[in-house]
Amino acid sequence: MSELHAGDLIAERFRIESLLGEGGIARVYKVRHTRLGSTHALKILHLLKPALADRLLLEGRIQAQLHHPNLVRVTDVVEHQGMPCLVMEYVAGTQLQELLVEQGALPLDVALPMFAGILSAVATAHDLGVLHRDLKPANILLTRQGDRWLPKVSDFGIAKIASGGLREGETQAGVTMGTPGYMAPEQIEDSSQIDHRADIFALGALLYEMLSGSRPFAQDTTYKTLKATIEGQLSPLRELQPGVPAHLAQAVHRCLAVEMEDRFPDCHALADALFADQPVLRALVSKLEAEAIPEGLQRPESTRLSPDSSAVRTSPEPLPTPTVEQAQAPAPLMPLGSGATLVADPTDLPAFDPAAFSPARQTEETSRMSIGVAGPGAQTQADSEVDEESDEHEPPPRKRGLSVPTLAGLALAAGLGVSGLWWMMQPEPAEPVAASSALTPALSGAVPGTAAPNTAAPSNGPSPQPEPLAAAAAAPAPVVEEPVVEEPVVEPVVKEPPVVEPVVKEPVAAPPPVVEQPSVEEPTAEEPAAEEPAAEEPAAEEPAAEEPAAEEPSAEEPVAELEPAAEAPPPPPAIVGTWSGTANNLPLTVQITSQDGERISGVVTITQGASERVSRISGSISAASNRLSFAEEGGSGLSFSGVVRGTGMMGTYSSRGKEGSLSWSAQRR
Amino acid sequence: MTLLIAALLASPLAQAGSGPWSLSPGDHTLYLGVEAQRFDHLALSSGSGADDVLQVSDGMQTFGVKAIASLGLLPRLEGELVLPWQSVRNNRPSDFPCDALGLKACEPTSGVGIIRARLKGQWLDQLVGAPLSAAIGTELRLGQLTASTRQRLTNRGEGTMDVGGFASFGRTGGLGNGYWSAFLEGGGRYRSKNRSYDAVDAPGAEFWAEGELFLAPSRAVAIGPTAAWISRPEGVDIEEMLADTSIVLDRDRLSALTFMSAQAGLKALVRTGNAVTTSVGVSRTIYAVNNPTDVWSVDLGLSARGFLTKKDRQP
Repeated sequence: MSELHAGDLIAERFRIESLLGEGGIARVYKVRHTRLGSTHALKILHLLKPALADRLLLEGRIQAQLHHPNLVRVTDVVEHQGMPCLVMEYVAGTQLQELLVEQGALPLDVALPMFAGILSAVATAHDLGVLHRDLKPANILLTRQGDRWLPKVSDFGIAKIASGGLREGETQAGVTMGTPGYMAPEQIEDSSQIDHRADIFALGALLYEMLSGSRPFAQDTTYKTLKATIEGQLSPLRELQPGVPAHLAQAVHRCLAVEMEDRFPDCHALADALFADQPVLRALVSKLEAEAIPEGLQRPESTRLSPDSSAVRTSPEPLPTPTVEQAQAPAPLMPLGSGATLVADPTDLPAFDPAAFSPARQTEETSRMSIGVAGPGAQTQADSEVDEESDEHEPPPRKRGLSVPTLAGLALAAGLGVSGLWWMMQPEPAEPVAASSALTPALSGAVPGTAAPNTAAPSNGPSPQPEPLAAAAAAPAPVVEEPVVEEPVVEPVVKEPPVVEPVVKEPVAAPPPVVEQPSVEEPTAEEPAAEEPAAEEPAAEEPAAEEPAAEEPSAEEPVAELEPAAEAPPPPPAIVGTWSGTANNLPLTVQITSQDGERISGVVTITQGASERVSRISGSISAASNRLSFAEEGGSGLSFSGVVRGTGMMGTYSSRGKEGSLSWSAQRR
Repeated sequence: MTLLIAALLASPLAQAGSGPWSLSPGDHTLYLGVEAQRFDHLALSSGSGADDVLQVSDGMQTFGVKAIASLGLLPRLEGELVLPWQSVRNNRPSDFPCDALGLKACEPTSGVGIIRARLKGQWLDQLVGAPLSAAIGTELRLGQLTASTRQRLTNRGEGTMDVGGFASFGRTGGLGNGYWSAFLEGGGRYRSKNRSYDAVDAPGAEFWAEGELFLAPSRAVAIGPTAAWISRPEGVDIEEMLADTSIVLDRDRLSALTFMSAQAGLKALVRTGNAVTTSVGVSRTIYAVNNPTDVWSVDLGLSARGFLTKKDRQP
C-alpha cells in the first residue's frame, strides 16, 4: 500500500494530518475526523497480506473490548484499499521508554502510581484471558493529566488469547514473539506455550527499569541478553537503588524468577505484594480493573494459575475486592516528588483533550500504537508480526537482488545445465560426417550426430534405439557404414574420422575371395590370420596384439579377411568367459556369457571411477578368422571389433557408429 | 544444524552418481548408506581465533540413512533421486548456547531431509577418445519437509526449494592390474527465499565443489582422498545474527547466515561382486566460517547395480 500524505481522506471521514510512526508492516497516522473534528490515530498495514490483516483485526477486537483508562482504546475499524485500518485513541505524550532515557530511575512516588495503572490494565487483560506478551517501556504511552503521567498500555499486536470470551488467537509453535530483556525464559523457548506469568515477568522487568533506570538483563548483544534472562543473571535491585524498599525489591525479583512457578501467580498477587503498605494503590488497581470489564463478558472471579497450568484459569478463591472507601482513599502514603501529584482515581478526571494539551517538554505529539518509531523494540514487534505471518504464507517480497558474482555464477551453472541437457536431447543430425570430420578424433567421438546404424551388431539382437538415433539411422546421408556381412567379416579399420573415400573403396562390392597382400609398411592384425589360421600361434611378425590401432592401416586400405578353404570351416573358438583389459586405457571387462555357434552375447563393463558403465552386448565371432565383433544393445552405441588369439582378444572400437582408432584388448582370466 | 546438513549433502562421502560418468540406458544403481556426523565447536565468523569459536553444549550429532537411485535414461543421460532420513540431536540441549538461542534450538529432530533430484548429461567421454570425461546437469532440491524445525540448530534443512546446475570433470586410467580415477564436480544453486531481513534475503545462493581421487591396485579395491567445499557468500556472520534481534529470534535465522566449509577425507571402495560395491568413507572439516569447525563424518554404504535387470548366465 502506498504511503499516505497529509490531506488524504480515509474512509470518507478521516483526514490524514501527519505520520506518527512506521514499522515493518504498518504505519500509524494522526488523523482528524472530518465531521466530529476529533483526533485519532489510524493504523494502516503497508504490507498487503491477509494474515496480517487478520492479526490487525484481532488486535483491534482485543483492544476494543478492553475498556480501561490505562489501555489504548480502539474505537473503529475502517477499510482503505481493501485493507482494514484500526481507528484508535490518540494519545498525545511520550513513551515510558523515552522518559526513562531522559530521567533514568523514576522516583518512587512517580514510578509506583504509574506502575499501578499499568498493572491494573494488564490485570484486566488477564481477567479476559488476554496475554500481552510484549510489555516493555516502548509500549507504555504516557500522557499528561495535570501534573502527573497517565500510562496507557498499547500494542496488542502479538497478544495471545488464552481463554475467556474473546476469540482464540493462533500462535505458531516454535516462534519467538516479544522483546529480549523483557521476555520470560519460557517465552524465549516457545511463545505459544506461555501463560500470563510471562507478562508477570515482563512487568517485573518494567518495574525494575523504572526504579533503577537499568534494564535487568541488558547486555551488548541480543544473544547475551537472552542468555542472561535464561540464567537469571541480573544485579540485585537494591544494589542499584538502595532506596528501594526491601519488599518492593523482593517483589520485583520474584517477578523475574527464571521458573514461572516461582513468580507471582497473577497480577493481583503482585499488587498485594507491591502495595502492601499502600492500600490506596492496591485499591486503585482493583477499582480500575473492576470498572474495565466490557459489557457482555463475564469476568472470572480471579485468574490464579495452578502450578502446571498453561492457560489462564479461574480460581475458586476470589481476590479480595477493595471497598469503595479504599479505592477512594484520598492520599498516597508517600510524599510526591517532581511536582507530580497522584490522582487516586484517574477515571474521575475530565476527558483528556489532546488538542488542548501541549506539554512543554514534548516537541511532538506521538502515538505509539503497535509500531513505535523510536527504539528497537518497535521494530522488533513489527518483525515479530511478520515472522509469524510469513511462516504460514508466501515469503515476503524480496528487497534486493543477488550480487553480480552470485548471479553470474548461478547463470553460468544454470546455463551449462540447461544447454547441456538440451544438447543431449537433440536428435542426431542427418549429415554428421562433414561436421565431425572437422573435429579432432578425441572430440568427434563425443559429438552427437556422428552415429550411424551400428552394423556391427547382429540384427537379431534387441537393440531398441532411442528416437534420435532411429531418426539418424533413417536419414539418407552417405554415412560411413560397416558392411552388414557376417561372413566373411570385412571390417574397415578407419583411423581418422570417416570420410567419403573409404566408402567408395569399401569392399562390400569387391570380390570377397580376393586375398589382399598387405603392404610391408602396413602390417595389420588381420594379416596373420590369412597366413596362420591357428589363432593360438601368434606370429612373430605380428604387430603387438595390445596395440593394433597403432599399426593399423589407413582407412584407404581396408583389409579383407581371407576366404576360408573349400572344406568345412572349423568351429569358432570357444570364448565364453571373462576377459579383462582396457579400452582406451580404461579398465575393461568383457564377459561372454553365451555362445551359439558364431553368435555371442554378454556384458561389457568399463570402470569409471567409483561407477561402472555396464552394457549388454551381442555380436559374432568368425570361425574362419577368429575375428569377432560385438556392440552394445541400446547403449551409447559402442561397437567393438577385433580378433581372438589364444588367451587374448584385441581390436578397435567406435562409438555410435563413428569410426575410430580407439583400441581395446583383454586377456582371459 | 543447517550448515552441517548442507555440508553433509555435499560431503565427499560415498555417493552413487558422483563424477561425470553416466549409466547406460536402462542400467541403474541403488545406493543405501548410513552416515554419522559429530561436531563440538562452531566458528562464529572467520574461526581464525580462539575467541571466535564457540563450544556447542556437549556437541551435536547427526545420524542418517540415505537412498540414492540412479537410472540411465538415454545414452549419456542419467537421472538420480536422493532420499535422506536424518536424526539430529544435541547432547545437552539445555546447556549454553542452546538455551539462550531459544526456539527449541537444540531439541532433537528427525525425519526426511532434503530430497534431491538430478539430471546429468555426459558430453565428453574419455571412452571414445576425449581427453577427459565431462558432464553437466541440473538439480532440484525439495526441503519442504524440513521447514517446521528450520529455526533449530538441529534442523535437517531450511525448508526451501532450490534449483541449480553443476558441471563435472573426470579422468580414469589404468594402473597395473587396476585403475586410477579422479573427478572434480562443482555447481551452484538458487534457493527460494524464506525471508527478507534488512541485512539479507535468506537464504542466499550456494556454491559447492567436491572431488575424489581413487587409486585401485585391482578392480576390486580402490582407495583415495576426497574433498568437499560449500559456501553461501551472502548473509550475516553468526555474531551479527546474535546481535540482531530481528534475526536471532526468527525461525529463518540460520538461513540468514553466510558460511563456508571445507572438508577432506578418505574413501575406500570394495567391489564384492559384479554388481555390488561397498564403500566406506571418513572426512573432517578443515576450515569453516560460521559453521562447525570439527565435523567428523563417517559413512558406510552399499551400491547395487542392475538388480532389476534380468541376469545373463554368468560364466
